[in-house]
Amino acid sequence: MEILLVKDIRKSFGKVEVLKGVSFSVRSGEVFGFVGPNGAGKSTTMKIIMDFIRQDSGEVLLFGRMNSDPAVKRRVGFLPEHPYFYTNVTGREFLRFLQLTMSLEESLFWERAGYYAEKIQIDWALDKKISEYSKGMLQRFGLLQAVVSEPDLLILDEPMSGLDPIGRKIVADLILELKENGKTVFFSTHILPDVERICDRACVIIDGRVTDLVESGDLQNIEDIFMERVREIGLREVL
Amino acid sequence: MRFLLGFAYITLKENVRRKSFYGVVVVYLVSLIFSRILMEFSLQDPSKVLADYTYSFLSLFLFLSVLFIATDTMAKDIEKKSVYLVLSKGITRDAYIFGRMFGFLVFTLALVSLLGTLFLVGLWVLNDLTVGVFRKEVHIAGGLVVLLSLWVKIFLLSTVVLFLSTFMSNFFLVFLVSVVVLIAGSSVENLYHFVSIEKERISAIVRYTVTFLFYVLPSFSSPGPDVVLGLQKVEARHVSLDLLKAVAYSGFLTVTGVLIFRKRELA
Ligand SMILES: Nc1ncnc2c1ncn2[C@@H]1O[C@H](COP(=O)(O)OP(=O)(O)OP(=O)(O)O)[C@@H](O)[C@H]1O
Ligand SMILES: [Mg+2]
Repeated sequence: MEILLVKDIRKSFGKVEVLKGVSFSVRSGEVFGFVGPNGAGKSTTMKIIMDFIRQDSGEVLLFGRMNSDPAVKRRVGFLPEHPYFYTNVTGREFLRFLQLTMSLEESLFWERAGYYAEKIQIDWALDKKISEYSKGMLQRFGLLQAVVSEPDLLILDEPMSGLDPIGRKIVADLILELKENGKTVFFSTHILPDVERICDRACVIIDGRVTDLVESGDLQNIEDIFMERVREIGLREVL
Repeated sequence: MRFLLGFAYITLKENVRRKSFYGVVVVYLVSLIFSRILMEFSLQDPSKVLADYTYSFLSLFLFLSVLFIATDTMAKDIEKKSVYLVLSKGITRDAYIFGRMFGFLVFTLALVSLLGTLFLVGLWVLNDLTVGVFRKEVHIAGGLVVLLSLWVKIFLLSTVVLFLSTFMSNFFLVFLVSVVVLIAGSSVENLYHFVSIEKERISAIVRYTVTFLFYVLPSFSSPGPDVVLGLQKVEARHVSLDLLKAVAYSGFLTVTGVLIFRKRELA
């Protein structure tokens, strides 16, 4: 079943068309990679999926419903590209804010928070003020807030960015564990070996267009496909 | 409605942690002492001088704190994108605005309670140390009416700031326009009272314009120190109508803000 369906999305900022008809779909229970060079439109697509900005045309369906439906959002976890938190509070206080606003059952929430915090190795910093977090700690905390409500679909914008090799391995393992538990993960990245390692499928977006949908059998060639496409498009722009 | 609790929690937590929050408290204590010293050099009625100064400092501090803190809240949420984290949790845009507003309702209450207590207790103690024929008593009931009104008014100011933040993208701009609204609202209010006293001598056009502006702009005045000293009676009807207008105004801004924010691109 398709959990996320993106249908012919177009989006312009001013006169510049940034998304030129993006379509793809993510199936339930898979890990789906979203790769593309800087400025290709990955983050913009994700913001449209989350209904933070609105497409000029096209459609986004989450769990078969319009993405503007608030009920559907409760089943989604999101990690923004540059997670920014209320800096004057501690990690634990921010989690408490989430628990209260989402009206989640308290003991279960903290049990999960403890579990994932330990897994992501951010548990030791939860009582520190967020303004004192390093870049990687912020990224880890960003992941924690995305998974803590155990959503069915995770949308992660460059989850590995800013992480050390151990951090990257932790994230990769976490994604695989979530998949084991029947969750769906859709994430963007520049790190092609990671795609090869953990994704079931991936799509390549270049200059606002999806150029390739790479099935699991072809994932080991993703680096070649990616380079090939970038070269083609680059050439076309020169000519 | 549980989500409102979350917003009240985070608004309080965030702001109570600010060093400037304690700064305001300390500086207000200093200003109380300063007022007491000024009183020595004044030839007027000492209680009145003391009440005037401590009240002026109180309202100045309240309005300034709210102006800064409210600007630094939602406009920053949107500019720095922390709003993504909230909205991605299934909290609707409407709930976010209501939540932020409610957070400020609670926060302004906390602020007024804290500084207001310092004001009343400070005034009471300092006044007690005063001798002289002109000495007045401090009326706690009058003081509470003043504080209630200040609470409503600084909440009104925070709704103005949050309302502007629903469509303005830059927090300096939000701050500036809020200051303009604050000053315009207060001046028009003074003009309105002047015009209503001097009805005959002022042309109809001016009168209607001022009256119109008076109803369009929010008013930020509160019963002043004279009420605390019992020099002026609380006009219940006037005060409650004024507060009612403020509450209605805050409500209107909240609802309009919600409608605007629904359409906002959070790029
Ligand atoms: N708010 C905005 N206003 C104007 N242009 C924008 C805005 N946001 C993004 N863009 C433009 O849209 C294009 C796509 O940006 P986007 O952030 O989606 O890229 P990306 O694929 O996520 O890149 P990266 O890998 O660097 O994160 C870029 O050319 C960018 O300049
Ligand atoms: Mg990006």
